[in-house]
Amino acid sequence: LSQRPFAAIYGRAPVLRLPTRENYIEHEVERVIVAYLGADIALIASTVIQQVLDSTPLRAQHEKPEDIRKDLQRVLDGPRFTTWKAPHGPTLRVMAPGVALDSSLDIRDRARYHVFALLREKGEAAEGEIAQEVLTRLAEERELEPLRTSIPDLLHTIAESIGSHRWRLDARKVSDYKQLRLFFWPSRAEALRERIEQRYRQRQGRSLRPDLEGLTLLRDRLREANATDSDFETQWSRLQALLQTALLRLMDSFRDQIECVLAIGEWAADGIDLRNLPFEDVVLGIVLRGDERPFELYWQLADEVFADLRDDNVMVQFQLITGSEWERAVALARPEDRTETLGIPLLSRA
Amino acid sequence: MTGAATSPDIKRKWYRLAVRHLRMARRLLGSGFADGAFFHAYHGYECALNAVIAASGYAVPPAGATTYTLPSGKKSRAYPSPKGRITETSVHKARVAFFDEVADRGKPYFTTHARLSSFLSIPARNSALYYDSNLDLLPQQRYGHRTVLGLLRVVEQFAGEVWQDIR
Repeated sequence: LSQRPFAAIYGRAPVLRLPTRENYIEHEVERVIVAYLGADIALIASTVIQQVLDSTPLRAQHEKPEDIRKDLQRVLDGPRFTTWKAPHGPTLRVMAPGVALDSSLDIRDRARYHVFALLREKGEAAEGEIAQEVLTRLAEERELEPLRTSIPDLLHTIAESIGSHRWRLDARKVSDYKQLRLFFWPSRAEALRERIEQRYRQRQGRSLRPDLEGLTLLRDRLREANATDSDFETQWSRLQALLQTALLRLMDSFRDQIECVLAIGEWAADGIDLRNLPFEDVVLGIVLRGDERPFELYWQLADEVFADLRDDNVMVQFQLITGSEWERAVALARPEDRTETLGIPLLSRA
Repeated sequence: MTGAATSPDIKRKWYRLAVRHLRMARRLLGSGFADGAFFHAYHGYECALNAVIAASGYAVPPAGATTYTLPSGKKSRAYPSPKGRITETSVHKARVAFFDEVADRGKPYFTTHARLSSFLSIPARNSALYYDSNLDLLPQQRYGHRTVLGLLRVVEQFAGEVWQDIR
């Protein structure tokens, strides 16, 4: 094509950003910052550089780590990112003010990030103001997917309630949230399998994954119930490790059969004294997608997930709830605003 | 005139009681009461646990509880056990904890117990008795014939494995 017809056809078309290494890195940095509510340079470098080196589209170009490092520095110095010094914490890379987030990132992560950004700027804010900000920012990102998590649930993960519907950023909760996120982050093999499944299988509905808001709520409830226990963190770590094993096994082997998994009973409703374990009930309610509760499934779950989870301190047990039982329970609880009494979600579909 | 008193074979009594609960469960299941059958299956399982505790020479809770003094000076009750003492006040839970301490983990009955105990729990046993207002479920809605039949077969197998080992 000669110059003139080319200019006539393409002259006014916007220049598209091709998937170069630099904008690939920019996207990865943004993903890490949004997911982890700001990230220090060590976290960014460890995740982004590895991700680029492992990336199929870029692998053919024989990437050198030092070149990636230079690109990374250029991206971090660019207009989309800035720095923020957390109180008593390290300097973090965060998104620059007013930047619209990449709408391909998870909607819950983006919503939480907007809450984080607002509270970082204002220190504290009313729940209504926060909700307005989140919805406005999501609208700017041309978000069509509904946000399925309530704003108070998001707030519980990173802020403390300081009055009626008023919240303040809580640095410790932000740090706990990051730990939780890292703890439940799927392995590379799981991420790979997820992508293959997405490509080759007809996926039915939303994927099952750890509910970080629920896990935070459970930890807060237990922390409150164990306020006088100086060993709480150790006990919670042990319990959390067992929960992680159980939940990952459920996701790994039973994901097609499970709608969600909840902490049910007293440990979820009021919290239990962890010093009384293993005598306190630690029960997971497994909500099935179908309406059958066959004994074979009980036995298979017991064998593959729970039988070797017992240690001298904790015994994790389970109950099965059918899909229709769950729908009816939610329908009954919702008008009375008591869905929380049904349990705390630990795995959910989002 | 009566003969000399002999010490009762306590483990056998608990095993027989387990079998009796399991027979009652079969009868109830045959009569359409799967929820009642579940309840008795639970107690059949618990009595088999008790048989193992008795066979190890310990008293089966609530028997055997002793009073001791906490460092704070407060008095408390507990069951002396191989690993120290079990402070649980619920008899059902104390029996499971006791069994975990005295059981031989290499035996077939322990493998079966490890699986059963992950869902055959006190909350499950209670839900075979009472209305669950959270889920709006009656016991008969929760436990179906086939599910309880499957459970019953495994608990019977468990009781058999226990007796095989302690007889």
